[in-house]
Amino acid sequence: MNKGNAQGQALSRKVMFQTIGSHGLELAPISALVIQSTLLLIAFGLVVSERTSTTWNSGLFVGLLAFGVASRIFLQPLPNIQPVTLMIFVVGAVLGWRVAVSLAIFITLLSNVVMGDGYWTVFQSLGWSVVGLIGARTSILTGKKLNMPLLLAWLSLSALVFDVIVTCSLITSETTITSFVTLCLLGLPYDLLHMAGNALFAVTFGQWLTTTLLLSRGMSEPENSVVTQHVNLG
Amino acid sequence: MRLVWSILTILFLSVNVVASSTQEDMTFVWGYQFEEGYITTAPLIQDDIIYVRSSGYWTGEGRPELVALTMKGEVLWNFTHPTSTQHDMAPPVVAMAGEGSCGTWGDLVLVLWANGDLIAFDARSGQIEWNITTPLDGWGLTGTAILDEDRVLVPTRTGIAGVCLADGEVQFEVQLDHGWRNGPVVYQGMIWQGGESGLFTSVSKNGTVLSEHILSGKIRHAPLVVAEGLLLHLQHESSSTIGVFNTENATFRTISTSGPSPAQPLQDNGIVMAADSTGVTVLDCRDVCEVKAFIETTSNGELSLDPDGALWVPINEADKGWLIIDINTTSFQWTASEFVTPHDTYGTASAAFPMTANLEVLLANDAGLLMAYGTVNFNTITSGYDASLAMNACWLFSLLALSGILMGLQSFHLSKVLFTACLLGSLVVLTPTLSQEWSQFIESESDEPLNNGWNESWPEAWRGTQILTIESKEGTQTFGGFVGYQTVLELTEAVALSEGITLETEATALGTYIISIGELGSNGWEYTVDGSRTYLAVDQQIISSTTIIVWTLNE
Repeated sequence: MNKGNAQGQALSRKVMFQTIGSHGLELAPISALVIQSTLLLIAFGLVVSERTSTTWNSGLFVGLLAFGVASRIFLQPLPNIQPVTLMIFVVGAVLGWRVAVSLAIFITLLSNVVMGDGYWTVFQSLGWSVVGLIGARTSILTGKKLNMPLLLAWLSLSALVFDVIVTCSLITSETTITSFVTLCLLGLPYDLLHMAGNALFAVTFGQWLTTTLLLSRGMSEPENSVVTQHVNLG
Repeated sequence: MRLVWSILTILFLSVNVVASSTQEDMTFVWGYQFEEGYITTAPLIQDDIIYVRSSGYWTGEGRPELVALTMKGEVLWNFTHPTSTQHDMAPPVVAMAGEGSCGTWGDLVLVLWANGDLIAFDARSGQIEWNITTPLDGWGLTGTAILDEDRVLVPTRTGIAGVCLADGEVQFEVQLDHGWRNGPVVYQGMIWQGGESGLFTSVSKNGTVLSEHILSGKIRHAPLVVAEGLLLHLQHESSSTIGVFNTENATFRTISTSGPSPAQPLQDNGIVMAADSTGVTVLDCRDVCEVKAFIETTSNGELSLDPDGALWVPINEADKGWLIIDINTTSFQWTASEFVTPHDTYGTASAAFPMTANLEVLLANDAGLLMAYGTVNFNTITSGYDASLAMNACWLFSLLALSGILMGLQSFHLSKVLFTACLLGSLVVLTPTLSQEWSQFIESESDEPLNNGWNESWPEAWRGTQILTIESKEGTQTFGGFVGYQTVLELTEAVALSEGITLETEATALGTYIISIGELGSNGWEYTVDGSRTYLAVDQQIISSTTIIVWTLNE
């Protein structure tokens, strides 16, 4: 059932951020197949390229993926509280944009199998991918220590960026710039929730996640260099 | 850094400190869930049997039911009406066994149906004793019948009828104003009843119209007998008037102007309670009626008094329960408490009070759920104070206090976690209200160009009325000439009712969502009000008296 683009867009946007409802237009089976296949190809492509060129732990990737999907499903009743944002951001900052974008796409696709798939899946994937890119471009680490105020600031911005991108899924042929801005403004309370959720997850798990990812990177680099060396020797 | 956290904590505390509320444990004893529909009238209790009916706008296979339950919630008997498809809003009436000039009868449950049927059931077995049909005009019986000696006075769609309790013989039937949730009262030997166009009529007990008076609003309840005369709560387009009709000199004295969509007023020993979408007005009518108190809330259905004399008000808002108001009838000081359940939603049915050893109150709501509670407990609140919010705030306060203690103990990480958890918790609690207020603000500030959408081909008689257009692949249909509807949902339902269009709705936490109109759903229905998109759910979108609504199906 589609609640987007109908009966007041604020309702749509609220429902969208509640995550239990539907969002924009639902997709015909073939369109869905094409979009999902494309997203999967991109995600796999990024994973493969990352695995061949740098160092990261695939087990950790699967663990993060499972946690991201589970957290989305488990936190469905809470409006727009998205631990995935922190995860993608930190992964981007520590492991690079390829892993972050790949993780963003996989989490969105897999969780939406349960939560409902549609046009918005593309925008959610894009939104979190951009969050990963932002993470990859920022310096939130001072050595191995997380710069928490900086992280909180970037996460707040990321929440806004993500929400605006996802709101784009509600654009129709009748949407004007004014109505789009109005739509974005209507979601402001939900943007605040996203920011507050990010803050809680960052304060609670931020340092631990960063340390774990750094450890993974630190462990993988020697392994990778050994493998690379072995291949070169061969 | 520590200083920053300390300051933030203090700031947070300063905006969240609230008085703690008294609270006892509530005991949910049992529940009865109708498969479909709402419960819009209070459960009726007689001789250890609970009678409750469902209501709805029935488009599929579902139909309204009447169920008789034991005090343990076990079904004794039930009846499903096969052809009543409109909203059944008339409260059932029990007539105890007796005899009169037209015969004898056993214990009866009299049920009025929206298709015009009046069915008398044997109270114990559910067997139909007699059945009559009254006039149908869009819908049939929706008002409150009363007993008058050996007959029942039935507010029909087009007037009033006197029906013998023994055999259902119609003793008289008289054409008056159209009726909707109205009802008669016997006063000074005459029957008084009002209707939709404000016609207030007195009828002799043999059905002769004695006098007719035009009042300025819809009369959607049975008049209340007070010292001055008959108290009425008249409904206008976006407001209401409480006043007294003096039957001696046929004048109406306005006492108070209040909010829209009045509930059915209630009287207790000269103290009148009248509710509407803005609150409950308390009047002292022991002599000359005057307003004594006003308690803000939203209530549009029925009111009831518990055995201790406290007023129970069903709050007709999403996620709200019942407001219980204790009124001192001398000083008119009042205290309000909110009774909340895990299943709260919109509701208009008043509470009922079994007064048995293990049950204290029966509550029903628009989710079609009847709940029996054994111990009534209240979150005490004061005027305008939300108890559920207070409870949440208390938890947050406790967490914050713990956060402060941990900070003092130098557990900074845990302190920060608790603080941010409090911040998030506060936002989660506040967001529904904040979002609604914000949406309304944004809507009021929106300067999207308006085109009210008047079509010159429409009848001139529709000018100045409410108009609704439905656009789909099957064509465009426009309906006009409607007056007095307050929200998009009300107008849409009214059009659906009058035109026989099926309408499927879903109650969500964010308001009512219309799933299908005329069994068409597809990618969803979108509406505009006077040519402009809006930002609220259909039950929250207020409309004016000259609104043009256009429903468009996303193909």
